[in-house]
Amino acid sequence: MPASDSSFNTDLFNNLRLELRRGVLIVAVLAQLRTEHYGYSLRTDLAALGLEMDEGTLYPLLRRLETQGLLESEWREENNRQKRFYKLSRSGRQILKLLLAELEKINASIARII
Amino acid sequence: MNTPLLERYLTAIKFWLPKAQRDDIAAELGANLHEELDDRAAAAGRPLTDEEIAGILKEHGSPALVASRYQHENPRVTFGRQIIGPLLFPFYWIALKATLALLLIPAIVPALVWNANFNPNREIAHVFYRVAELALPALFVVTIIFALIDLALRRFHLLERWTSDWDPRALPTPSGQKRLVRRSSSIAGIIVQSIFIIWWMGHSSLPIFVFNKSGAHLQFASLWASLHLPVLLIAFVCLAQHWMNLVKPQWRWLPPLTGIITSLAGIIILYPFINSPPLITITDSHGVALYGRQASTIHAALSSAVLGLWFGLMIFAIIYAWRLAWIAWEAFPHQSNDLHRNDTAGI
Repeated sequence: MPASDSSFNTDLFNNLRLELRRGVLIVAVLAQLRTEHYGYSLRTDLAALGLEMDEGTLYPLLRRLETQGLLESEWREENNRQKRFYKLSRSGRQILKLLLAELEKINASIARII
Repeated sequence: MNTPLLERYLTAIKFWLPKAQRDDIAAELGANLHEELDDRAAAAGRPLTDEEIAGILKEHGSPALVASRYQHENPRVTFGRQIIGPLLFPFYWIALKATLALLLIPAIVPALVWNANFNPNREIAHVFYRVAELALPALFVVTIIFALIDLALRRFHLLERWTSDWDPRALPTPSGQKRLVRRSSSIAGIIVQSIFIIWWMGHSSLPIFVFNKSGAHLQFASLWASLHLPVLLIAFVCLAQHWMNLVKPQWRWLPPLTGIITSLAGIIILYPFINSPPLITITDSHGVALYGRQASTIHAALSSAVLGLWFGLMIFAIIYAWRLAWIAWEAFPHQSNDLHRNDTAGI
């Protein structure tokens, strides 16, 4: 049954793609937050750099990373509007350094494998 | 820039969020959405229409779905793997507390308050016994029910399916959302009705009281047996109403409408009991009537109680009808004001 096979493959691919992106997105968010951003500006900046991220994933992720101590935030007014600005915390910087090293190792290994 | 549609959306999201984080999350989300709407309006070179704003909010997700994404800060129940996720945990916690209160308070308080020969050791042992006897099975049953709901939600993507065809323009106004059917009231209703249904289903036969010394039987008339199925159906209707109000809290008309239907059903069901043959009989072991005077006294008391209940249901039906009419009357002026505000709103 080609139709169901194709739908199965699409579902499977989407699931695997999500798994693959999940960890990398966190690294991208942490790296981008070396400079201060609020949620929407971070999303548009990531999209401009080629990494589209759904707001339903990004905004809750920011709060989770802050709860984990990797980010710190403050409410501030900009253009007559209160916004919550996030930036990398001290422990976030240490973790990012380790994650980037790990990512580099994985990329090198994958390059050798394929 | 302010848009009533966005305010409605944020208020609807707040309804689904835990109290402690509600305002903070909504404020942050609101700031981000305002920025996005401003950006889109700037790109279009004109203010966005209500239809375009509704499209952007729809892309963002239904209020329940958006709120569910923020529930990672909530605790969850895990046993090797996740049993009850963070989305359902606040509901589970309320349900658990309400169930335990419903079961334990009536079981424990009388023992502690009205016992003339109060013996601390015996009473403490009694409390522990009651906790073990009632609370542990209740904890187990409530946990299993929520674990099954959680499993169904995740396995069949029910939340996504239920909220796929929503329309931001159909959301009630912030002032209208303040008058939503309370989540805690729906959950409490679900628990009470579920416990009642389980109890009622387990008592399909009428009780017979036997007096030890004389061997006399106090028996309810067979007419009482006809109550069993209708009362069960009424309880299921009430249970369905609480579930529907949990999912659709803006349906304020549903509780009074259900109240009218169930009260009228009660009036019809109880009608045969008024001027009925004896509602109880007291007989010996061979079925010969005994204690005629006492039996007629109990019958008279029961008849009065049934008549009182019958008139009570009539009063309830009138009160519910009044509430329903009030909600219907309220809907018209609010709706027209909101439409006017939407028409004049710009980005």
